[in-house]
Amino acid sequence: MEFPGEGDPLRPVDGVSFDVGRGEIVGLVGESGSGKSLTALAVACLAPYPGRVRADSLCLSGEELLTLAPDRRRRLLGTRLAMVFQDPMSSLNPALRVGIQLIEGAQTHRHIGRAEAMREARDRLASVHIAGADQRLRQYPYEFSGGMRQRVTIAMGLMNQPDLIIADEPTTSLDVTVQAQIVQVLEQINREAGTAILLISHDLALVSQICSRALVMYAGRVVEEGPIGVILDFPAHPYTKALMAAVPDLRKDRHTPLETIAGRPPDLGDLPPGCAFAPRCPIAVERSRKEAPALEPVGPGHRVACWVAQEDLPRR
Amino acid sequence: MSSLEVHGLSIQYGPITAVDGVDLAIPEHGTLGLVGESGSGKSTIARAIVGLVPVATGEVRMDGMPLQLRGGGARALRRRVQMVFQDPYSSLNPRMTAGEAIDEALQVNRPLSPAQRWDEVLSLLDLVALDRGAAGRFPHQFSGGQRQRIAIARALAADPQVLIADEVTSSLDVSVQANVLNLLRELQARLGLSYLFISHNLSVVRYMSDQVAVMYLGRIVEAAPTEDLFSRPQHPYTRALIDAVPQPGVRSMVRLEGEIPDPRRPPSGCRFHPRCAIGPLVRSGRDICVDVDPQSGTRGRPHAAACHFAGEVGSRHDALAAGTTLR
Repeated sequence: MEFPGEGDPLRPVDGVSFDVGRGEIVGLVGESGSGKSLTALAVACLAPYPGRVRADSLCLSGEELLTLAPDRRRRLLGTRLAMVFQDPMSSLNPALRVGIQLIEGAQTHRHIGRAEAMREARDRLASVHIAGADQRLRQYPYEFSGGMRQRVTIAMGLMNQPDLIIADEPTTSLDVTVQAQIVQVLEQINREAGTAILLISHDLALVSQICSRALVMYAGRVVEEGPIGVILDFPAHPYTKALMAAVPDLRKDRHTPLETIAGRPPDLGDLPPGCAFAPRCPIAVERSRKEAPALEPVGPGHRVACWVAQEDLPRR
Repeated sequence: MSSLEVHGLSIQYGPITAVDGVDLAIPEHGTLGLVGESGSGKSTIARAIVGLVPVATGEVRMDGMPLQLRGGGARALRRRVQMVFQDPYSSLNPRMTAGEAIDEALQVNRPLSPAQRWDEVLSLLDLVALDRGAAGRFPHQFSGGQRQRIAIARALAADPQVLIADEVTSSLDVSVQANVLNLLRELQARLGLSYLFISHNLSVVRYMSDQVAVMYLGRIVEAAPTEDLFSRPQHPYTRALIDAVPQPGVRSMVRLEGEIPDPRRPPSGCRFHPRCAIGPLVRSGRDICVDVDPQSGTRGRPHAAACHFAGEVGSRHDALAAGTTLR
């Protein structure tokens, strides 16, 4: 994704490639500014103005989004893809009853009657464990708690039985017990309806709860990708390692100081010539500072963009 | 020995009792962690301690002296309690440089000459590991983590004994969070500060605290030394909170359906009983939970749990030890 800048255009997402298989749950992990949310918006053709998306291929349910006629693209995105955002209050219209909002997508894209759509909406609310759906459909968003609102936006996404749900920090504004409930609902949808999920979060521990594969982004690029077990137990990229060491968890010795990452993420207008992580990296070599590493395989399904890791791993 | 104590604190917002008869003791040179879900009343306690919300009943004492007294003595005492807020974007004046912001806090709190104050500003910046050039820059020129350091420096300008940190890392990225948490621990060791550390994040509270108190709907439901609380939680709510924390590669458990009830109509007896995994809705013959408030009888115990059936819940520690991993 490109934004016009003072000099060269800024690329908050640069050369990102990945796929999410049918029925798969993939995690996308990164800190703010890593480009993870913009990647999701690019997939949904929701790039914020004046951002422009370029891609060799952007493919949803077998259809090439960038070459599709606008009306067919709208239909495809409206029915095959669902988005769940961080703040459910801002994705719901505060002035409309929840029922109306739930059926809008179904009426627009599938041209079904209001009564039928309402019946479906009731089923969807029940499937995300909202009790008393009949009454709930007539209520306004303010009458729901935060966790309930997020369930409503998930139910809304489910109305057209999408192939893929992109959930961008869906639990970040929620309490830990509610977070666990939402993650459980997502997993249940995946299990029962076979819906693929791209779960975007800053929290690798959360992502590891339900995904089979994870991607780690830094400064607009994917720096590591692999099966979740490999990422957790044998992370190859120094950034992935540093990220995990920096987070307190219930099993770490609490008397040992947390490891920190020196410096701060680079300014997108002023990226270093080589690896973007090199200035903060404890193992950077001369080459890291000169030449940006590409994402290369180092094991089954495991790819990493780091000169040092690529040297070391295949020999192990 | 505790530096700041809260006795029977209640706080009223109109018809809502946001905090109901809370006792807390912040250990001297140590940290008391306060956890709970949003709406449990933890931030309200912090605000009451520093005098930002009126106290309905109860008392806050510092070194045995009540903080709410009027007059110069109490004012000098209150100065010794400072607070750092969650959002470093709204807690700093955008039109004041970092140096001016810290200097302002010095002017109010310490009788120093302008030159002495400037020296003090620079040494406070050193203390929170910011370069001295930061003094001339405005908040928008700093990252979130750096702003939080400025907010900490500003709180330290009053030379406090107790620092209240209310969700200080919640708006920060995880790599920055580690820096701020480590800084707070270093400052505590160096300056002998006492902390009230408030967070909804149990892992962070565990890392920071010597003692932990768990809040639910305006009450402390469990309080214990950190290791005890996490390895042997006695209250079913604490257990549910701990189990819900996502751990890398370990399945978190949903033991708690629904959300905190409406504080205008708190449930009778034990306030947690409608959601409790070992309560009257799950097990028969537990009418006592509906009828009798378990709050009394927890005073003075090192590991206090306000539950009629405290200790019945096992610990996740055992589950973790048994190796119930995802992989």
